[in-house]
Amino acid sequence: MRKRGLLVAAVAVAATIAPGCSKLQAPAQSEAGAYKAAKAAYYKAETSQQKAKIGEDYLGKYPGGQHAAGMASLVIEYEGHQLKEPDRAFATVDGALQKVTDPEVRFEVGMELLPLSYEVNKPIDLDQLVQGLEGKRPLTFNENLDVMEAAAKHERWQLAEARADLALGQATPETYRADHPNSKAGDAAIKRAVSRRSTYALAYKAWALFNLGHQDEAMSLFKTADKDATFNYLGVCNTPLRQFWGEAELAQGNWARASELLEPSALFGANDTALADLRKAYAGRHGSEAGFDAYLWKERERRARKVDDFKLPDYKGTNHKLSSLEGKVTYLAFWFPT
Amino acid sequence: MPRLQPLYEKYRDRGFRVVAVEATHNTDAAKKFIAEKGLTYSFLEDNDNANVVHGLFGVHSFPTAYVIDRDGKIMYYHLGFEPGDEKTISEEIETLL
Repeated sequence: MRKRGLLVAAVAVAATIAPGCSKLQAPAQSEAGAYKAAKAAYYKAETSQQKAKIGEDYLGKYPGGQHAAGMASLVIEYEGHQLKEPDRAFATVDGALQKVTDPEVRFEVGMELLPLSYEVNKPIDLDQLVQGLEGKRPLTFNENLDVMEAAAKHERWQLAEARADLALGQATPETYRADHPNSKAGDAAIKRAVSRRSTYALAYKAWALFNLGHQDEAMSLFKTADKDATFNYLGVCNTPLRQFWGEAELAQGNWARASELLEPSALFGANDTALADLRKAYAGRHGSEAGFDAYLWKERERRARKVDDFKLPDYKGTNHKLSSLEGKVTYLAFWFPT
Repeated sequence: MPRLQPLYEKYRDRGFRVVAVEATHNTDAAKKFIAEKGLTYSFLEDNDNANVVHGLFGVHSFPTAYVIDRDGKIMYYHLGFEPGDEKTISEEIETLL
């Protein structure tokens, strides 16, 4: 899962929707003004109530506004999760969704609301969102990816497989360039991006096939996709491929193989699903979960990588080496101002 | 980033450091943000020559963070910063201090 900060999500969502696409519901100027005010209020807001209300007020006035999805994410997070009022949050966002006619905004808001809709047991019709948008234009790779993720999460395997096939067709340099017309990426970077696209699509396709009962085909597809897999600084697979493959091995009782595939994702704390899976593989191998935490710590120490030192300036122009700033424990964060 | 400030204040006397590397050379916006939020931990700025964020660490999603132990080993990693993550990070710091 690609985690995003809430406001980052709001900004990103805003950027993906063409301006003026929701003129009927929101005169451009006042909607823009309302969003600007909402953003300023969000930075000042201290409580979950205040943050949820910012989203509610916006959606009340501009249900089909350009920033509706980002604002829906505020309501869902702060009212639905922080204040533990999922039914109320669902009613607010679903009420706004019902008023939206633009398929672009419907898709964005619907995708935001989908996980909560399952929590409150009123699942949104994912096919309808997709078909609505496809009536206007084909989905982009990233949209197909979002649908694949949602479909897999809610075990809609046929939908996941169909979207994976479409996404696979979009794993070409031409499609990548068309999706990023302003990108300055060179041939090598585009080649990497395309390979990442195809690994993503194949990972979902294989995982869907596995869950549809085509196990042999799925296992061979995992192996094929793995040839192009890339790994991050800590050796964690950059796509969900190793996790799905690990889960498939787990489902077949291949505990050792499952552990091997899941360990890098599970060990360093960024993937709760992989960690839960690794726990199951451990229990399968040892007959119980006893000793799991000790094993986890030992494996973490064994696989942990020493950080590379580097030198960069602070805002007074003084250069510092990371090693000169380190303490007993260092939290090294990479960020940018939004 | 502001949510790291209380963690920094809570643990700094026990040897906890926060080093934040800005990835986009957006100097003015970063300085304004740091001043407005009253952030007092260490801030560094990446540049094309050093290419630390994208090149050395291959980071493409933000915020990404590593928790490094006293031997310089990366023991935990975080993608995103969601409400409630403070608790997880506190627990990790406690295991390493």
